[in-house]
Amino acid sequence: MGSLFSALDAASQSIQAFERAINVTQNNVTNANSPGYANQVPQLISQDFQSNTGIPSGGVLEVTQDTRSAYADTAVQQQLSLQGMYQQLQTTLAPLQTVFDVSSSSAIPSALNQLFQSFSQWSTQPSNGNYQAGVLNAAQQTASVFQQAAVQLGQIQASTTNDIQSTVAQINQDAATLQKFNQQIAQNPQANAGLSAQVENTLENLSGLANIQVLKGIGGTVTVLLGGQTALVEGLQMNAIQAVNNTASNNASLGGAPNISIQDSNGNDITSQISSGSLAGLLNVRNNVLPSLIGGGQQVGGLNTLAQGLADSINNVLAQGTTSSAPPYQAGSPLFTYNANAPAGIAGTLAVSSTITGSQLAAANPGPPFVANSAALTLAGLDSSSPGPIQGQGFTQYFSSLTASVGNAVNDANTQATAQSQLVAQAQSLQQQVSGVSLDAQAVQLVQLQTAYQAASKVVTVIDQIMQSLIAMVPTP
Amino acid sequence: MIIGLSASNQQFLASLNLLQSNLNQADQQLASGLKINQASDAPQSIQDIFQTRAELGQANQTVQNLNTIQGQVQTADSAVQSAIQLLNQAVSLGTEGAGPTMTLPQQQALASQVQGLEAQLVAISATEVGGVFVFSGDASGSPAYQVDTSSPTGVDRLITPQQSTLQVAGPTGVTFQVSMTAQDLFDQRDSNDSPTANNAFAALNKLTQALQSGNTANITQAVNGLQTAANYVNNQTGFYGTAENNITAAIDLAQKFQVQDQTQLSGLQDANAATVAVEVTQITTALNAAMSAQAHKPTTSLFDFLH
Repeated sequence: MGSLFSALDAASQSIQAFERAINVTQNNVTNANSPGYANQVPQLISQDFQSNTGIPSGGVLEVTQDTRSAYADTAVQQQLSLQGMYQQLQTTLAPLQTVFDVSSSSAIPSALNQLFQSFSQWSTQPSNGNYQAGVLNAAQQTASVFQQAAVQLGQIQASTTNDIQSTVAQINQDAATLQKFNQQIAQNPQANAGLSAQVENTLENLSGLANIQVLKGIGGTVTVLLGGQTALVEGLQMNAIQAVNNTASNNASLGGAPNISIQDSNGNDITSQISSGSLAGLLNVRNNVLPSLIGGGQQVGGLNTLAQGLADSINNVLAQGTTSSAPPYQAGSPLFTYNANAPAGIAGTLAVSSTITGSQLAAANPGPPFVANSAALTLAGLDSSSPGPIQGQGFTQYFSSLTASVGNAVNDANTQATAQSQLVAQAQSLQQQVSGVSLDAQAVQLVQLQTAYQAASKVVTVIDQIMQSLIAMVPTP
Repeated sequence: MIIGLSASNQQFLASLNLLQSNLNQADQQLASGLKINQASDAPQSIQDIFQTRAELGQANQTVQNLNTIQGQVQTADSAVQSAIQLLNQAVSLGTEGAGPTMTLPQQQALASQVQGLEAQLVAISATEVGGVFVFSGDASGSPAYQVDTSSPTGVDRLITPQQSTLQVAGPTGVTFQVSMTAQDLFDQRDSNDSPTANNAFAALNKLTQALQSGNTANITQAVNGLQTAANYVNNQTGFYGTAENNITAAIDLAQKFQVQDQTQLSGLQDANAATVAVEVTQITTALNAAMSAQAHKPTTSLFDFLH
């Protein structure tokens, strides 16, 4: 009788184990499309069975195995981090192509062409008032497009700075979310597939923002290291980061905007640790690409170099020229002005001298020999002179090298982002193979569990019938 | 399932995005007619495109400049030819005035005609094309002479000194001179600013005075002097011939540069419509095939067959 009761008890336990396993399967099916969810596998473990000792147990003990793979998760996080950086570079660099336009109506090259053509026309008749006005108008247009380009780049710079601030805020928000998850795990350390999914999903979001290293603790708590070095989340503690102006390494005498630094909660500069993620893309554009164009940090900026080179070269030729046709020769007036006290802002302050008139344009060169249009001819050929006035390059050539550098950066970002999308998909595919929920597998498992459940139920029925038979054998008083 | 969307779907979408991006780029090329619409399309070609555009602009301006100047030089050349005819006419009048049968009134009448010719020569010295006084040299905005019968040369200089240092640049940057001043042609002077034997104005004025005086010897001498001045002016026509040849050659070369630059620019930036159209067809086919394949993927699972 004792054995039958034991068998009944074991069968009952098995039924409960199968119920729990069915619950797990149901949960898998429900969360098949939940971000971050890893397939849970119910493990049925047989218990001791000793028929000779009268212990007829043999019931199953169900435990749940999490299929989450730290390797696959890390691979996805790393690829997401790189994807975040290249996609951010794509987004942030794209507006630069409107400033460094390549169409035939492109502002700066067109203005430069007009300017040098106006010099050429003026050289044919230096005293012609219309031609002189043509030079002044073309110069005005040139100064104007430089100013516009400086304004546009300044807006992109400000927008990028805002994006950095909001990205840092998102990182801190994700870190705070992870901190809360850690608290929940600490309060209830039992395995929780749903919470684990939320943690993983948040980590993947965070990976897109910055390169992180994740260390798993007891019960699934996470320690998140930014750049593998700076603890962003450590158990129940969260250390917020912040974006600040890097005034320490800024060359204030240039007059450009300082670079942006990322500081940890102790105020240490951790910018160099940010190597991927959208934050890295933003920092690269804000601290490297934009300063190389419009100045900032330690750089004057290519556009300012171009504006200064243009103004200085033209003013120099005019200063060496003369407006007189006979001694004493009157030197020409400068055509362009700019704020020399702020080298990183020259493009924005480039202007035509407010006092110059057409007759003050010095077309002649006193020589000897005196040539009435020598200065004008020199100006007309300035852009194609060899070696060129700016680092050996002509103005158009220098601008085209700036445009090409922008084009290369965008092109590189596009190529890398495209490749990275495939790499992310591959990493996620691997992750899915290891940890994903297969509905077919779940269906098979459900059928198996159903069959097992029915069999165990039948065992209970049979044992019940046997017990009824035994009870019936006992004579009634 | 770690991601919200299945990994295979994610990969499909990534590939779809790539195809869509290529299609958009091809569409843009067809719409604009250009294969390079932004710097990232071909960063390595940007420098050549900008440089060629600048060179084309320069060539266009050079052709425009040279055409304008060609008109001025041709006008100047014609004016000099007219001046030579005018001087020869004056020589004829002088020769007629030196004839033995000429009376003083007849000689004075001839003097008036010669004076009129001198006024015409002054008018020639003020030949203007599009606001440019072609014989005023560097000061091309105003005439160089006016008639002044009281002057020893019969004219007043309105521009002093007269010089023509303006250079014209050809498409290669080589410069050459294309103008002479009225002083160079008709008012030759020595270092003391005294009229030389080649001074046409002075010679005409002398002939006028000689005819007015009726002195045959003086008339003959003045005619000889005028002939010398006319020969000198005649010799200067070679300058304009050379200048016109130089300008024609420079225009030819600049036009070749225009064609060359335009061809180069077209090769650098123009889209090949046929190639792009084929590309669009290929991408569209690939896009349709991918979407069709994705749409035909089975959407059932084993659950659909459970009862």
